[in-house]
Amino acid sequence: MGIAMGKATVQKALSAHSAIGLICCALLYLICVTGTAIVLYEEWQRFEQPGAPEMASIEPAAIQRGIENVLESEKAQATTTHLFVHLPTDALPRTTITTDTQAVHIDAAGGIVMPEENAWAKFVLALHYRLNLPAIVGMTLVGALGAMMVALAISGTMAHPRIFRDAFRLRARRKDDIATVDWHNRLAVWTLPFGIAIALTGAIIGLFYVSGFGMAATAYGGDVERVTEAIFGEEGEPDPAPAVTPDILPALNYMTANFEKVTPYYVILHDPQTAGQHIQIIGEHPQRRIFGEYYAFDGDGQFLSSAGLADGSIGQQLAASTYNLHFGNFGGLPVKIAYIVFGLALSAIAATGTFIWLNRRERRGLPAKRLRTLWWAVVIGTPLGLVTTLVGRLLYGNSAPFVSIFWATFILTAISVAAFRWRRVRLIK
Amino acid sequence: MDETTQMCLAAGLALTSVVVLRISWARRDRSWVLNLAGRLGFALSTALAWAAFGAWGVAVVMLVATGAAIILLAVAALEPASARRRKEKAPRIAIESNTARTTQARIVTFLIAGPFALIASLAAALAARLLVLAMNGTEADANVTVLGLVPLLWAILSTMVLMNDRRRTQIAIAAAITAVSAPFLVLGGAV
Repeated sequence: MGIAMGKATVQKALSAHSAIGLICCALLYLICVTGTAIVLYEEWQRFEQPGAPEMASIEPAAIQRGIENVLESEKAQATTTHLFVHLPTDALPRTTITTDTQAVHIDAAGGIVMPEENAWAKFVLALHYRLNLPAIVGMTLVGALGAMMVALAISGTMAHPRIFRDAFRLRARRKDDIATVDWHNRLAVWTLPFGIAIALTGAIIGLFYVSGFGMAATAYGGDVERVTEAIFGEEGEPDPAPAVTPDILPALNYMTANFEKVTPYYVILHDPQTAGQHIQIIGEHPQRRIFGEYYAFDGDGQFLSSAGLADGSIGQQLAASTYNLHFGNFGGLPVKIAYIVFGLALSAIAATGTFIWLNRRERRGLPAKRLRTLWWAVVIGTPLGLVTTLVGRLLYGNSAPFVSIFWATFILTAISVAAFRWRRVRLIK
Repeated sequence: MDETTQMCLAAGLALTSVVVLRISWARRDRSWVLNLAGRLGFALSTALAWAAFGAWGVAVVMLVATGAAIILLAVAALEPASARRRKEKAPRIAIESNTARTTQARIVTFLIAGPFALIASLAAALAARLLVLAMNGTEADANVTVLGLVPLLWAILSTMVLMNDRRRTQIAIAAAITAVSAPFLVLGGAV
């Protein structure tokens, strides 16, 4: 079955597809590869620090002791403005407390065991999120690439006159350009819903600096926080007067008693040890795409309200679904495996797209050997860079210079590919 | 029927639908019966998944269908190359137009499809925000509308701009969107 679209329209769509693809290809490929790797973010953290204490669950009293221990350890410095407790989950069965200045693992009794060391996983996440650039520039750039990925999906679909009829045609064992074109088109067609979902959610997250600041400027007198407060709820009024450490036991007990099916996985203390302190618990809802619901409690652990991410307006529920839909955190390991497979497919689509363009140039008698070499370097260098940084992590520990290792790998790959191709050309001659 | 059974049925139906479409599209002549069966199967599996677990169910069923298609593609990839290789037509992919463009013209096109189209998209999304509020939508709905619309509109606008060779048309597309949205932004104000 073909799509009723004129030849001229198809040509224009292909032209637009090529133009966007060529501008974005290298960074898009980098984002696809790192995105695929970071699906296993929790698993990588366990791999990086296998000796950290693990537990299926932790008693509320032990969490309270852990919080007190961490605050006690920071007594000599300014009190943290926020304290996050990651509670054990299936993917990451660890209890980790993070403050403004440190992150530590605690044992099942609430004792501090060791500092958290997951610098490689964080490096890959930062590479994916903001290309290791400052947040405002990097995230906006990544968001723009997400939007362009949606544009590629639109133009690619329009440029494909036999989208359905050819949907299962994959002549992969042919040793010519047709195999490359088939791989590109078939993978792109079947991962279209996945690709659009990933690209759009990524763009929503990344372009927040544009859309959020736009809203702040036109509707909130420049106050960006009010944009998100309307969706995720407001923070309480700060009161710097000193107070005792907040009591999370009543809050956790309230959750168990009143929200039986909800699994708390994060406890957040805002402005701890001040009169304005309050507690937030993020609870996971089973078989939902939202990352969770915020449950607010006062400093004494008395329930105040929930934000409405689980049962509020459609906008709130959509916003809360964005993160999980993007990272594949909504169905355990099977969904993560699916995300990895489809992520690899997206990476292959990005890689083959540029090869198709290079092949076409060659057929027209305009070979671009340097560009081809460079593209091979990107295609091989990106995953290789992830491997070498991981090796660097294992050899040099948490403080390995990941950014330098990654880009050094990239440059060395380009040189190696160029040398290999030059040698091959000489041998053929 | 409980929700889990419903979900299993939806996943099974999605899987079967992919197989049915595989059979249908492999035939030399079109079979509207198989095509319809495959597509209805998809629609029904999506409806079942939605009824069982809402958006979560639909996302899972989509993954099942995509996974099944990827497996079938893997099978196709293992098939030996056609013996009639030389006679086989090149893939029906259109050849892009080869209009010679100067570097300066390319930069201008990039600026229109990139930053200019983004500004137009933002203006349109902000106007849509005011419309949502005017229709008694919540502030959260209105703000999320902007977050979702900016990348979507930008993607559509960029494609439209790049599909037009004429510079005037390119500018007119982005300018028209901005011009239509601007009065809303001027008239609108704080929430």
